[in-house]
Amino acid sequence: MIATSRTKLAALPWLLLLVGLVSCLRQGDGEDPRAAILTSHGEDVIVPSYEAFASKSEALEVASASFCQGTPDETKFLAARVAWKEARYAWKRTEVFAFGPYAEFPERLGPKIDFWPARVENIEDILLSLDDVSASSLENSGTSVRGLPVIEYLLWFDGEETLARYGESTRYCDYLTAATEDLSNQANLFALAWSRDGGNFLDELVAPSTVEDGMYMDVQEAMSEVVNRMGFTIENIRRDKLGRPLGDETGGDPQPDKVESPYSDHSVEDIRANLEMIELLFTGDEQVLGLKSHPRIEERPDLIASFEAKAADANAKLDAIDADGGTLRAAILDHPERVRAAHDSLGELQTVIQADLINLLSLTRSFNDADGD
Amino acid sequence: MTETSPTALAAVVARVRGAAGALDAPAPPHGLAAFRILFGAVMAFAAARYASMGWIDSIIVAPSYHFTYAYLRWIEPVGGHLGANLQVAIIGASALALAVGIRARASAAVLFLSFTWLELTEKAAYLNHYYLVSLLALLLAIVRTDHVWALWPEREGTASWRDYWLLRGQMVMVYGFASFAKINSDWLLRGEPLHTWLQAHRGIPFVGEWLVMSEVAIAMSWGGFLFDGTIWLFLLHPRTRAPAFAVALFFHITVWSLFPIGVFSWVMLACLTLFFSPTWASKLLPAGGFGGGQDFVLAAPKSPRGAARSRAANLFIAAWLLVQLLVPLRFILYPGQVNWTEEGFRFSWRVMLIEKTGRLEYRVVDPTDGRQWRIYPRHHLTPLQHKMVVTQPDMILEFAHELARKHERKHGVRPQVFAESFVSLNGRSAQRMIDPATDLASEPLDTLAPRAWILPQVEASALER
Repeated sequence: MIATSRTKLAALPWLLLLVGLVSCLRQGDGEDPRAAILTSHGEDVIVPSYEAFASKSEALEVASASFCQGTPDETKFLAARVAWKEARYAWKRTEVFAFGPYAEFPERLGPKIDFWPARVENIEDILLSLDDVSASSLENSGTSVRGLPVIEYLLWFDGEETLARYGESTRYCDYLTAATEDLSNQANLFALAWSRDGGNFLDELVAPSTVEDGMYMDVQEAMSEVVNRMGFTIENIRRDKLGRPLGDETGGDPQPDKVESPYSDHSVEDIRANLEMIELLFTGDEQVLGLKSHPRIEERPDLIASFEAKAADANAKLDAIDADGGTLRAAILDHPERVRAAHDSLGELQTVIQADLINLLSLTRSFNDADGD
Repeated sequence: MTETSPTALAAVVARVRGAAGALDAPAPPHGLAAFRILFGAVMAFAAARYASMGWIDSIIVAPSYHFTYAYLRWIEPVGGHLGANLQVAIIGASALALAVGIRARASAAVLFLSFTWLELTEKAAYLNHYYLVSLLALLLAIVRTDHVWALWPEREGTASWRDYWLLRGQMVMVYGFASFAKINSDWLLRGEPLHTWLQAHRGIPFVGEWLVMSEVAIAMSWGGFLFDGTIWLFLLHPRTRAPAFAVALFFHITVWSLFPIGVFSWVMLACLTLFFSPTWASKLLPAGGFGGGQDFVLAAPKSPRGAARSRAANLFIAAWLLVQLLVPLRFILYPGQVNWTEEGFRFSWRVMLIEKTGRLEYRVVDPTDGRQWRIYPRHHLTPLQHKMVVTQPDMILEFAHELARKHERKHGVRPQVFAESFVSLNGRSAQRMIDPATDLASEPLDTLAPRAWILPQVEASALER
């Protein structure tokens, strides 16, 4: 009996050790390189990027209001177009962050800002309608009649004759004013949704263990979101922005009008902005901790070199598309080989992210129990 | 060369007969009953968890297309949302009935059929421990485990050592092949993929910095290899049983803590009790059980009919274990590294051996006019299916056939389908996995022959890192 009791007592410390270790293992995220990188991505990149977009959207709203006050004026019209391009570039830099407030209800702000391609018939319906059009009326409308693609249409729909059309009807200005005000509102909501003073999605991403019922269980899952989005964004560029116009969905029949930003011919710039952000997230700069500062990646200079070389090549291939002032739409018909070269080059960069980088950091997402065992 | 003398032969035959006779010997049934209760309870919990995690919808109902198994393509979800929910409810109910001993063998048969059907409806959701659950449920439909602690037991029969050794033999196969599969340079020399996976635990207080070291990963890899290869031996021996189970407890709970493996650890711990003395659980529960006080009978008279049954049962065990031995070894018949080609990978207890990631696209080409379409499977599949298809050649082939079928239906022409597939395995640089010049749509879907279009793995310099 005594021996049995002793055996039980001897087992107790082991049991306590086991329980202690297990509870320790199941704790949240402490300070580690992943948390530092994510924090830098959130605080130094994502939040400032959305703030920049909000600021550029406000500038677009002001420029449009200025243009629409009094007689249509070419200088102010061109200033509104420039303001759109600046807002567009700022927005396209954030495209990789298509999660959280971008995609999730109740905000689901992404489609309200960038539903494309623009549904021209829906826009024309509003232009022809006699109903009041305002930011608040658009707030209750579908995504196809608001956002950056709609404003692009309103500023470029008739090419160089667009300004003249504004002289024919005040309806264009009514819609433009309403759409830019709505955009500015949505952009500010976006910045607020990420801000620690607002919805604080920032902490859901960078400090998941501190947020109750957050979107991510831990830092690994949050980092997985960011890096997987990098790969998805490049795939979306290749599939939607280059491949579809090239005819990849139509058996090779080119579809130049299917490019992104077809009226302003901002298409290549849109892609550059997407790519610029992806490069920043990986490489970092004086202020931003890039993924390449992760110890596991630092051990792989070949991977860093590969990423940087393929990103540089993709940029060079994009430059070839709009060299000499050309446009993506024109290149689809005149130099499809250049567009295909950019498409394929981006594919190589996608492989580095989706195969090499995600493998090295074990960032595949889990969907069921040990779905890889 | 020496001839086997008749005496020696007779001695061997006598020993085999002796062993077979020993299997016939009656054994206390408590160990079997305890295993039934534990296994049934874990599976009932697993069914409830499957439903609560939303997997009925995301894995079974939502996909518009299901990846299926060769020669079993006819197995598909039954009855939509309601049918899938009903199926999981049947799994839970039959597992519960098994646990409490309501016609245990019939309950196990229902569990086997409903669970296995569910498992076979979607290949992307394949898990080794799902396969183990199917096998164990099938064995429990054959072996009686309700002599004690059963609410509604069968009336006749006693437990024998054969029952224990059939189940133990199955578990020895599982652990043995899990250990055998770890004999490769990635696991034993590089500590991969553990080293990669443990990076996710860098933030754990006190031990995080330690866990991410490659030396620790290699040590843990060796630990896993030795554990799988020997734990059942130590559990069998009475003197080493207690410390061995403590190690097993520590091992499985640590694995459960570190990796998302669901109920796997608990299934394995339940299985390990089979190696205990058959009476271990009688100390915890009343010997007569809760099934009306019926106790077990150790000795049963042998009739000629009983002897014939016994021989048949022994033959069944031998055949079962032979199949279990050969199926995991079938990878030998295929060229290349099994962890890369995955030919002979499933149903082989190759557990937690690979971290595979990649990119996959298809080109669909109309052979009559050369027109081509590019397909990005992420936009056609669920996230789980997409994650799996990008790295598994047979699934890449299967989806190529699906694309060809769809194209043919729409355009009236059977197209060629080519795959652009790049895969990274266990930290190596990505490389092409599928021959881009092979028309996958013309490759046979259901065949056991090696797939010549799977490109060989090229060892990269990363291996030396």
